[in-house]
Amino acid sequence: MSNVVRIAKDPLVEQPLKTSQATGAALAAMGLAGCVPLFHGSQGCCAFAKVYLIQHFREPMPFQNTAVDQISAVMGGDDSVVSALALIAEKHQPEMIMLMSTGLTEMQGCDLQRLVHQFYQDHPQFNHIVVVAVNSADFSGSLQSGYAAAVKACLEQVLLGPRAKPPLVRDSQRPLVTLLCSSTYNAADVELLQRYCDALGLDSIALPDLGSSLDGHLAADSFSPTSTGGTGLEQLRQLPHSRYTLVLGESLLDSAQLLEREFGTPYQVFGMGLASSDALINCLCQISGNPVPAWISRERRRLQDALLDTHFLLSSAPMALAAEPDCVLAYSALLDEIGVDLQLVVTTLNNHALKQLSAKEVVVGDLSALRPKLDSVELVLGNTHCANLCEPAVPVHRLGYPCHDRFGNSERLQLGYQGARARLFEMANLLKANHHDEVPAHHSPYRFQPEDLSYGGR
Amino acid sequence: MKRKEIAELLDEPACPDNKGDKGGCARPTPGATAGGCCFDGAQISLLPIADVAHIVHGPIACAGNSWNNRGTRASGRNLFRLGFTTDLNEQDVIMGRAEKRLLHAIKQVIERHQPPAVFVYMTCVPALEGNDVNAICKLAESRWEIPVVPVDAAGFYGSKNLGNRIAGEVMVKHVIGSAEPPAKPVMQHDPSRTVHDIVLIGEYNIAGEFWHVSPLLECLGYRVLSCMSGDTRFHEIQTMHRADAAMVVCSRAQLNVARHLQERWGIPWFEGSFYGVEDTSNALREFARLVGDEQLIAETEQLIGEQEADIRAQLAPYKARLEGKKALLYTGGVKSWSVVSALQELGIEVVATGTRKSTSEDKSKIRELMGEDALMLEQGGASQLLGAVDQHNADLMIAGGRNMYTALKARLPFLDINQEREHAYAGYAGMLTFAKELCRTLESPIWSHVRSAAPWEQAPQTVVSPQIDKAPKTDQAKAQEARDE
Repeated sequence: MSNVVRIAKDPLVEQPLKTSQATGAALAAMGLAGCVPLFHGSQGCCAFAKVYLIQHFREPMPFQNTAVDQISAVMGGDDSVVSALALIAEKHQPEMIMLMSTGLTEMQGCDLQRLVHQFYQDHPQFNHIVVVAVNSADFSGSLQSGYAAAVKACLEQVLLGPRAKPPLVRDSQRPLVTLLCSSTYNAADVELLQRYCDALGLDSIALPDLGSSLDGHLAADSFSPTSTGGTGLEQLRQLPHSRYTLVLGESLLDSAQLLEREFGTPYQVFGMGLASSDALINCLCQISGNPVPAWISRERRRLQDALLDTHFLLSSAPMALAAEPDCVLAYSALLDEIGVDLQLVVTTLNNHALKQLSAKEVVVGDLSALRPKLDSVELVLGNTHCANLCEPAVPVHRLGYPCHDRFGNSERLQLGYQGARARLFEMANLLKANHHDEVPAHHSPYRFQPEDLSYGGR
Repeated sequence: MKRKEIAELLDEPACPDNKGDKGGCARPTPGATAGGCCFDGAQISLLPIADVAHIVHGPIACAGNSWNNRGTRASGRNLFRLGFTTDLNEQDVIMGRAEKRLLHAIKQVIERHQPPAVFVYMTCVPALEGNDVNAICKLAESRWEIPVVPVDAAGFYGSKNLGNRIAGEVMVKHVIGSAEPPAKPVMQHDPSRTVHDIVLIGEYNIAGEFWHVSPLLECLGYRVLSCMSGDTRFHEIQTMHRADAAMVVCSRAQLNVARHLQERWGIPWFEGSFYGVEDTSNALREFARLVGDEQLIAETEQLIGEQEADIRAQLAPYKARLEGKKALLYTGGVKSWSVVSALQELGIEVVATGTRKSTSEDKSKIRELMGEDALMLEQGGASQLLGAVDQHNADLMIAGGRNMYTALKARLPFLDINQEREHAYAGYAGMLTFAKELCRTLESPIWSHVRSAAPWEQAPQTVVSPQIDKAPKTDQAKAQEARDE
């Protein structure tokens, strides 16, 4: 099936669906161990991203910024980058610093790589701290592409390039696989993938690993100036040994291709739903040569049962979906499996795969595209902004960023058999809760009231 | 209730199966019975009388398990949606305090909710204990001066069917005829005539489906005195004896009510159904015929003509999608034939129908519709049903909620047609919903997914026999089969 993707070209965006690349890069940085995300921009670039992610996760975000002011905006902010890196390195002793550009500094034409080089030259005592620089201009891409850029920068600058160290020797006999999860997936998804790998006798390293950082836990220390949990540098340096790359979200294809090119690691893209989960388990099964444990087969049967139970509500139910492209592709595969009548997809970035969606209409634009559909859909899948737009008339299944009106965003399992099942139940429950009686009550004018009766005996 | 009274109820002269051996109302077989009990039957018949306080006198099981489990809808006061029960505990039973507790329960319900009447349902435990519910009700009635009606239908008295009948009998004895309706108003569309009064027996307004029909009745100038029972109220039941005509809709079990209405008040009645275009039209025709108003007969034909043309046009695209599909129907009583005709109107072939609760007359109607070789399923066990599905290559099963999971676990498309459902299938408009829901399940893409084996499970699925597990055939496969034959 091929449809027309309409790219909104209105001069005015009224209800934005996307947010900036730097926010996405900072999110990815939170999945790296001992990392400080450093925004090279004005204070607001950092503060807005910080509040945005704090509200979504209900977790502190140890973001720093280079505080570009009037003078450095005009005269160049290079010195503030080097001094900020030095200050953070000295004060917080992080393992990593993710240095991210913003709209302002990209406009200046700032060369982040040169600044990182200069930092190591000026401050050789901090050579053990890994600084990864990522170009995350506000005027292109979205959260998803910023996140993907950060992952790729991490691979390029930690495993390759002038400061790369030789790969670490592994002490495990089990084959290793790499998990690249895009910004669509959360802590629960990463954990489930790791559980699947482990069940099939495989070691896995997730990059980034939101499962051990942004899963909503209390750390032993009361305060941390860096991320707590995430992929460690020692893990990152084992990736060249990986036998396979599992790609969850097309935006990370670049990273997977880099791993294939440099280390010969084959890769495959997976998503949500029964067929994709089958392919994933089958793939793991073939890498390891181990049989699939009974509990996974059972999870599969439970998903089949959930498909049966929920199809009375979900099959041919008209819905709309508003999310980043990776999320759209993953969810629409699941929605197709149960036969949802996907009337509209709104997404942030154009992507060749959007043409293949079964949706009747695909718009690259903002949430205002949803408005004309509100009378004809029974459910919308989208973020909190969507909910403000649609509820209570149409219920909204939460997904994507930001979801600051919900608790437990890290636990919204989406991947695997369990994730598909949980999503089906949530959608069906929302439809059920929003159920309206089919037939309006009929009041005949001929009906009479108790006081109209007369009691003459029988 | 005394054995003699039960025997009298089982003897229903209006029932065509009322022969010496009472074959029409089979006794339950221990170990092979799926239906409800006598209390269940009585409660479902009367519960939709929406403004009455229905108190279930017994331990928690009877009310606790059945509370709010039906799809019946009512406008106005919805007191029936509360689950009143005396919730008898061990001490009440041992110390004989159940009767006292009931009296206090009646007092509380009257003081707190001011219902126009209270119905008290007897259940097994107080019946076995020998509670005199009749006396308590009489006492309460004199004390608080509103009708307090005992419904003596404990579970062990017999089947659900008997419970329906007891409920009908109680209404005839205690309620119907206890007040007079206001004088007939003039018809809104024709002020030169007054309305015709009608009643419906055994229409439960499941999912509000009677509201698909009642606007048509209003439009023809009928005043529905009462619908027993769906979206009705106590004072409406009181006036049922003034009807010009009555229709027994679904439950053969309540023929006794129709017979009493005829014997005592001379009200003519007929049996009909609102499932399917033809049956809906026939029901409207029958009312006009019984009322015997020539102008009404003409107006009825005109309405039928308009409605049928309209719904047939709307159904056409669905009919094209459903044509040639095969269904196995497993449902009780009258629905065994009324749904057959509805399915046939959509081009669906009914390969077999369940007749466990059907009478010989129902069965002859089935033969009329499906031909002499119609397969009738007397027993409704899961293996029999699936065996029939398999044998006849059925594409879907249509049955009540209890059999739903039989179909689903066998990965078979299914349509729920029983009393718990949320879809309104009655009348002309209901047929459209019926067709849409059939398409929803039949055309869902899930079937290939739920029948698929995991890639690592090389052997075919073991949970289901290969005959039952059949994916929708492609045209190619069908052509191949035709060549093989």
